[in-house]
Amino acid sequence: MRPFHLRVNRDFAYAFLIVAIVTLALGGIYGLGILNYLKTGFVVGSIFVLGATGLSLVFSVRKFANFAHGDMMTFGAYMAFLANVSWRMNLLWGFAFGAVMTAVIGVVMELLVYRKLAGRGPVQALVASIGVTLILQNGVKAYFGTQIRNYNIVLPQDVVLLQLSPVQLITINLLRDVVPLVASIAIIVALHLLLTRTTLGKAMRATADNVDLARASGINTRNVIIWTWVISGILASVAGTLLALVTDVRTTLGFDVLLFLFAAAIIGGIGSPYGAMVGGFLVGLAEQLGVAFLSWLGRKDVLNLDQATAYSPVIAFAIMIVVLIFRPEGLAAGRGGGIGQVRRRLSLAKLLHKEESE
Amino acid sequence: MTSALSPGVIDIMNFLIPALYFALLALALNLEWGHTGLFNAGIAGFWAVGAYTAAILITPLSPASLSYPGHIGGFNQSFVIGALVATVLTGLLGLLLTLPILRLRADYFAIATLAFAEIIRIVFNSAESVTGGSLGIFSIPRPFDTLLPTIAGANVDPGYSDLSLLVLAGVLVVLSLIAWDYLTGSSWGRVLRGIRDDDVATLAAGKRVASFQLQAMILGSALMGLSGAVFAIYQRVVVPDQFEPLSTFTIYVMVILGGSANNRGVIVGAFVFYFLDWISVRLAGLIPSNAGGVLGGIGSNLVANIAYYRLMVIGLILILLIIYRPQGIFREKKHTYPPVTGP
Amino acid sequence: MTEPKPILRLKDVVKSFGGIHALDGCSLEVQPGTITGLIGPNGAGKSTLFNTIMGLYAPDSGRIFFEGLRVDGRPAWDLVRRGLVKTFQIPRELRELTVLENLLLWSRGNPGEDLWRLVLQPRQVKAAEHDIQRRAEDILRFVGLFELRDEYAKNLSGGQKKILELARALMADPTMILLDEPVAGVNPTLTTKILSLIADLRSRGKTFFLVEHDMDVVMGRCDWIIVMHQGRKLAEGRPKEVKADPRVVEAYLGD
Repeated sequence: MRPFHLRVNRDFAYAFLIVAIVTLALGGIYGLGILNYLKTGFVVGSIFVLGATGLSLVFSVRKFANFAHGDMMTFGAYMAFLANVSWRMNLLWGFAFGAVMTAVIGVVMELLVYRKLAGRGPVQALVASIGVTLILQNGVKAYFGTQIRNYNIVLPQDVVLLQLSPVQLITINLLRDVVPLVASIAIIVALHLLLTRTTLGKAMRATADNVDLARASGINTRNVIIWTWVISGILASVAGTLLALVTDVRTTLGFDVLLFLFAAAIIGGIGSPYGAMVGGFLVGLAEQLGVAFLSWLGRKDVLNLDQATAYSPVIAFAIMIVVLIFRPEGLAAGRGGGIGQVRRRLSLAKLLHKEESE
Repeated sequence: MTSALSPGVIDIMNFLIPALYFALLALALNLEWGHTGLFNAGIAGFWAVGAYTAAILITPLSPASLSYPGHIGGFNQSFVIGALVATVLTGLLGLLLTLPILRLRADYFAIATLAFAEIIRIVFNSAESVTGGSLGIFSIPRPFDTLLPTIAGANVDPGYSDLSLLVLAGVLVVLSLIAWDYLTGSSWGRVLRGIRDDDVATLAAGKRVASFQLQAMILGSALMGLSGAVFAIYQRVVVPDQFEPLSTFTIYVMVILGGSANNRGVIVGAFVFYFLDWISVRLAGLIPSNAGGVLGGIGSNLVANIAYYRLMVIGLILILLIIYRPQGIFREKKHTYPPVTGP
Repeated sequence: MTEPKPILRLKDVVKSFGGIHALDGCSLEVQPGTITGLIGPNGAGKSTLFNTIMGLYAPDSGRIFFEGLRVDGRPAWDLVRRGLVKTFQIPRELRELTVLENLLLWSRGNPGEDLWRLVLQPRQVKAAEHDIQRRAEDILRFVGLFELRDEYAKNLSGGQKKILELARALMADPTMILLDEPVAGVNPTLTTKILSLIADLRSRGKTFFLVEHDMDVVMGRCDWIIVMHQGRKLAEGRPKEVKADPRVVEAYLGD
């Protein structure tokens, strides 16, 4: 599998086709009101893109699922909080400070922990990352407390794009909607340029493909890995800060979205940052469309389900599990098969058939 | 009514009982992960199913009200029935959930099972009229609540309820250990370890790997369900928040600490680990928080944040263990057999 | 005189990975009660062939028959159940199990591995396990690993691990064994011993299909040789015939 090459393939096309169909169907229920959900889906999706890409980068280079990624997001958000609220600086400085601090944490963890576990398989590093997540999350809780807070920032008013009725408005907010979208796209473009145009980027791709070969060709893989953690930390921190901007500053911010990030990375193809980019939007849209669908489903005249919208994560997780079962390499890999398929399940038909003899 | 048993004894019982139901969880994970290599990160979900099943079967109906959504129930079954159904149901759930994800690599298996556990928690949290929603199910009766007065008369010491539960939990752990030792030391257990070490080679040895993996998961989940039932009657309350991924992680610490694949070891791991939990709260309270100056500051900070500091220490222990002693404190026992063909 | 039916038959088997056809329409037959050698230059597809026959890979197309019954696509455990066993070229010892346990695991039909019988019929299980252990110890004594029976398999030397591979295969008491380089890295004395054992077992009706690069072994011990090249059978015949076949020489030289 070539992790860093994105082929526009049929599975992605199908996925977006399904999204389009579902949107149209829900449009039948909500009318143009569905646009609000779409908008939120893209915004949330853009944050997932940032988070999942960081996750995928570490996975492709260090070959393990970093369970601490969510809490690195939380850490970044709280570092931004420190700068913005405690030290009364502009939130932009908060973004920068958070990015630096989270990158540092990532590098420290690599040097102290993950480097020692290299070559021991994906499970041990995963377990270690659980330890890291416990330390990060509870360190934040101990220092900052568990109250919900917000950044010190002036929220602009929602801009009304469409007025469908006296109560139904399609709105967009400069800070809560446009900033995350624009920031994510900008960062993704920058990352793409980094991966394709710079020496570091090429070194990262080579290390991800085959670390021994890369080392043998003279690439300093240890440095490459460190830079990967730096980038992953920056991505995590920005994603966390944006998420806190859009929602609020909570100690469980990152861990709550961790499974969504895994879903995005897995659906897009774990180890492929480009796949994570597409996967992030898919998961964001799936989640929001899920909320719309469940909201309708839970109405008294339909299923009369309590708390219907609370089930929306279930939709995203179910999709992830389905992809894991049928397309473990993710949608980016296209039709799977080959060396990975060592065992094939007996089909029921074969079981029922009489033994075929010569 | 206060107990005639000294507060120290009651305190110790309140340490031992949770340690015992955690020991059951550790044994279960030991079979799934320590022996078979299945990284089940959904322990909290199975535990929840066991606890809720027992709660629903045992607890009398709590009517819905403005502040409480109510739950299904009123079956008024005994604890024996409740625990039995919880065990079987959770075992079945283990079978159903594992079947589609068996082929996944260990870390993907972990992610999938984690997702399952979260789905279960979301369902329990949201299906309000069924499970009591985020408020959960409370007033779960212990079997001893009616039993003891019939034996010892109306004025039975409330401390005896805890004592009876301690005995019950202790007996369950001993029985489970005996069963587990027999299973893991058998030829069946050997297949599991073969799967853990090299599933392709074990397949080439003629073993139906998937079938064995399922068997391990069924038994493991069933034991988790049983633990949940004990948990439910001890706490007298089940709420979804108790079944977060953190609970799953702590069981992993117990198993890794005690020594994966060593049954006695993981029980010791459970006790040691829960002891850390239990004692950290008490130690924090020792430093006076109303003293002046630095000491008071540290004291009050400790008391407020002891839960977080403890978890940070646990995270650190986990990291140190996995780097320096991933096999845990107790080694896996080597299985030897006296020769049958002479020395 | 009627032709004996082949114990193993492949018909037009294709297996590719990515774009590479490791097996490209491979058809061959192995006769029962023979030691049949499989040779060919590197990349000819020999290991893939063994893995595919064994059910570790499912062929893309084609058919495989073992003892007259169709087995392509069946999982490996089913092949073992039917009496076909394979050794791995790079030994796959079960590291955290002892040498003895490795052998015990390879026994076929051990009731102690069946959960129901383990719980409900403990006495029969104990008796069966006793017999299995005796067989295992006999095999271990024969291959010279008995003293190391309680050693963790991971602690064996490379040559000892290779012997363990063979010992395990014998433990399964199969009708046919696929041997993937069984004596590479094994000392000469033990090699002779193993080859004698193989010849002895062959005279008792077992079939051996073996891949080996040591030409002395191949030419000296095989009844029949099949040559593979680029994913299909190139030539076959008695050792002398194959050695003199110009196509075979060219395949090896041109590699």
